Amino acid sequence: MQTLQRILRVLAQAIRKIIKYIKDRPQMQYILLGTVMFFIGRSILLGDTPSNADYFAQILIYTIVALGLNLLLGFSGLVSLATAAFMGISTYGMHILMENYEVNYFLAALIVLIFAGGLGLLVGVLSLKMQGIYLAIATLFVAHVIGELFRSFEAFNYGESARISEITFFGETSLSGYAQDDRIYLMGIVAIGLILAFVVIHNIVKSPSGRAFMAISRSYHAALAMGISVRRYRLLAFMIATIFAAFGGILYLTYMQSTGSVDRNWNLELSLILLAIVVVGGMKSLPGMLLGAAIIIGIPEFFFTPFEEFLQGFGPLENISLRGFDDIFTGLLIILTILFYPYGAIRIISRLKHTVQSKFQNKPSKGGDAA
Amino acid sequence: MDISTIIQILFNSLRTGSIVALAGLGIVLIYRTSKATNFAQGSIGTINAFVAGYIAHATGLSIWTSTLIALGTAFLTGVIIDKLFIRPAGRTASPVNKQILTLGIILILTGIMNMNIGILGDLFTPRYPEQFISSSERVMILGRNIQWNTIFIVALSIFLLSAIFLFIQKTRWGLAIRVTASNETAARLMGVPTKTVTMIAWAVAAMLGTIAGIALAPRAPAGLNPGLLIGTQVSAFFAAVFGGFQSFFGPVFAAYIIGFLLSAGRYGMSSYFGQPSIIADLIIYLVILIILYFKPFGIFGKAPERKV
Amino acid sequence: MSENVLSVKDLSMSFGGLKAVDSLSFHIKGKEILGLIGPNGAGKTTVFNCITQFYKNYEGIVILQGANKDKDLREVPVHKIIDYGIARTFQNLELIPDTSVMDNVLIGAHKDVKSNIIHHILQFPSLKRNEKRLKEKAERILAFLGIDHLKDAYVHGQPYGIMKLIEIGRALMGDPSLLILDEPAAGLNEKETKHLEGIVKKINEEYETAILLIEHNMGFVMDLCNTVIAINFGRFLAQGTPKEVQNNKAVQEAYLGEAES
Repeated sequence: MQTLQRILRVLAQAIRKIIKYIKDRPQMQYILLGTVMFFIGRSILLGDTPSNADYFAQILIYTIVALGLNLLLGFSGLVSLATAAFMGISTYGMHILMENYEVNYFLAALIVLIFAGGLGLLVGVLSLKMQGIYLAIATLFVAHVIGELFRSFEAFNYGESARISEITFFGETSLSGYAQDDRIYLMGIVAIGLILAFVVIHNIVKSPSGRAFMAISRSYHAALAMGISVRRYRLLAFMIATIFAAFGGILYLTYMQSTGSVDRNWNLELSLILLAIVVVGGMKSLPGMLLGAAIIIGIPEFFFTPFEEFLQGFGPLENISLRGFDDIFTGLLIILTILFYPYGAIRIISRLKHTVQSKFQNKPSKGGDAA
Repeated sequence: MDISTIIQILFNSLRTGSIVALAGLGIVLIYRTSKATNFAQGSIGTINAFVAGYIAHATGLSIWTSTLIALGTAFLTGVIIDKLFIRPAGRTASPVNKQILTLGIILILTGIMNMNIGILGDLFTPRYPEQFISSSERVMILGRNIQWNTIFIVALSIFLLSAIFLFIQKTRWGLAIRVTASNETAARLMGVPTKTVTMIAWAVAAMLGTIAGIALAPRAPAGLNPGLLIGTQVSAFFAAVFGGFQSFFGPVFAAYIIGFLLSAGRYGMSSYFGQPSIIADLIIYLVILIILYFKPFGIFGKAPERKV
Repeated sequence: MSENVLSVKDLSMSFGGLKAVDSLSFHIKGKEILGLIGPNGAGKTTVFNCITQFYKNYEGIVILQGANKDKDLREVPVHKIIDYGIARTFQNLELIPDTSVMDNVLIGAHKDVKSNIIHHILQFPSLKRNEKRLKEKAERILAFLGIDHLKDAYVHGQPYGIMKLIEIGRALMGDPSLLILDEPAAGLNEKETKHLEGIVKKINEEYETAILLIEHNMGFVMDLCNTVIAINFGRFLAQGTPKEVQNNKAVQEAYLGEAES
């Protein structure tokens, strides 16, 4: 009996130690989060409706892009409506490099990321001139020009989607979206990308750079007076956001094995959805991006569709369609968040956590409880 | 290039410019009264253009009557958006947050246009509405057959734009709009009903967008569709930035310049370079983007000062 | 004590034809507290903005006296001014509301951040050491200001007096040899003003910084400043000890004029 108690105590201690270890290392939390996401994705792939895994992978990919956009919008206070266009540049870029020039996958990804960084720099330069409300308009123009570019040239399949049959990584190792086993690996790649994105953004926002990004948006003059070059950090914010969009595009091409099309994927609507993920998830919150993506992409895909089928089960409603409700849902969420809940959905969770904690520990609450 | 080609390009420019000017003036009206850059201008116009197209199709009414009805629904759309979304944001929301609000409105309107419940599915079916004047009605101008419809659209736009200018410059309500535009708080203190002014601005902007949509739809490549006014809206924003949000005349002027550049560019690209005309759009938008880099607040505009 | 730190010569600045500052000249000596007073709209903040190079198109010259050689500050970009030992606060608070007091103060040490964003992404060990050092410094400064208990609290929602102190703390992080305070006591109650007075005095003594300040609270100026310069409509009116300036006819008239209108 005593031995059992001792074993239990040692076990409890070990668990407590592990929890403390993870708690002290936010990077570990993100690795854990990514791993959990991978296993959820894997179980969807092995489940009854593996096609749902596409939406799940998109949630993860859009989370990555939203993390970059959050650095721009949430931290640096800069709006961009060209995010989807940058994703498109990356998918088409990968396709052209790999299919037309037979460049290795990793080299192609590197080239695309560097190119995206340069493009971000250009838009950043534009942002130095056009500020505030003009910036969103300028990025709208950029997105439009990129869209016209895709539609104009054959290299981009005139803006239509182009498929890749399989992706060759090293020598013989290749993964095809048609094979179920391969798709589990592909999901793994997306999950690793997610972890990478989380850790990189976490490291940035918790560093002196993170402080500088916040300073240029919230106390512009003080930032200058304290030696922060507004120009430098604006350019950096745009470069990072664009590189993240391109990274998301690379993962999209990798998982979906298609470039996507200008009209259905890389349009203003997707840029707005990404913006919605940041706004609804909670500006400045990193886990909020995953939450935002899960709400904005997940709820319509995983709840609206089954609900539609459920409604169709009733005689007179057999032809009902809930098409369009996803956009209305997203649009309403953006508006309601801006009007009533500017800290986003993540604030609800941190509030809950806070109440629970103070209930149990009976500690007086402090001022700094924001997410 | 012979004279008849020049005439053709000229009328195409005027037609495109007129449509852009209508949409652009709506954007400026809203900006001046609500300090919001309305990205939903195109969607608002499109959804009401659908209404006109549907009414003409379903009831057999002429496009003229249908347009009048659609202008009524447009008025309502503007009022509803102002009441439901823009007013509650009030003065507390930053201009960027107001921008994001209008982006949310785009998604809602796009969603509605994609809906397929009851009558809505039929209402938002892509179709080609009739022109105001049948395309067979033409007039010979310097060796070129010009559609009366084109002339009508240009004349209507110029009439509407002039009427709005006169209204803003000469009437009490126009004065109220100008006062609200320059300083809303002061205007309110002086007894100007700024709420009504803002509401009317949204309603009028919606109506202008709707006319732009109905004028464009019959000859748009995909007819009435949710993306009908996307290109027009981008051009309208170009015009508003280029001509300056601070003036009412500048954007209209800029709209006609952009209309001319697009028409001439498209013609030149296809007849001289043998390239698809879309490449002309690409180049022109790119050039305007570069011009905006050097003149970010337009040709007449001034940079806003940041107070230290 | 007698060495000049900063000299302003024939400074003029106009906005749309209107002269906000009109050929103003003065010096700040090492370790002195210099007060710049004048009625509203006298151009005081404009002088500060010219010194700290937020405005570049002024006439005249602003010279920083160094140990070895003098520096014309016009050649220095606004975000490099702090490298020359000049730090300032703002009349309208310029803080990041949605982050901690600590982070706000750390902004002031940005010039001491020798690492770049690549180091931050890859979490170089030197970054951690450097951050630890800066945080300790910030804690010392917060303790000096008497607000170290608030270091993890959010700035948003703090009382006005505390925010003013945070701004001063941020400026102190840059180890300034000249600290410029723009209306530090505005909006403070009597108790807070007294506390601030003590702090400014202590900064002057312990950190050995020269201080240039604008203030409307005459009691505050009288108690603190060694020298006071009065200006009106951007023009020089009087200079001297607080007492002398207070008894100056021209200064009295300038303030009376304001009271009448």
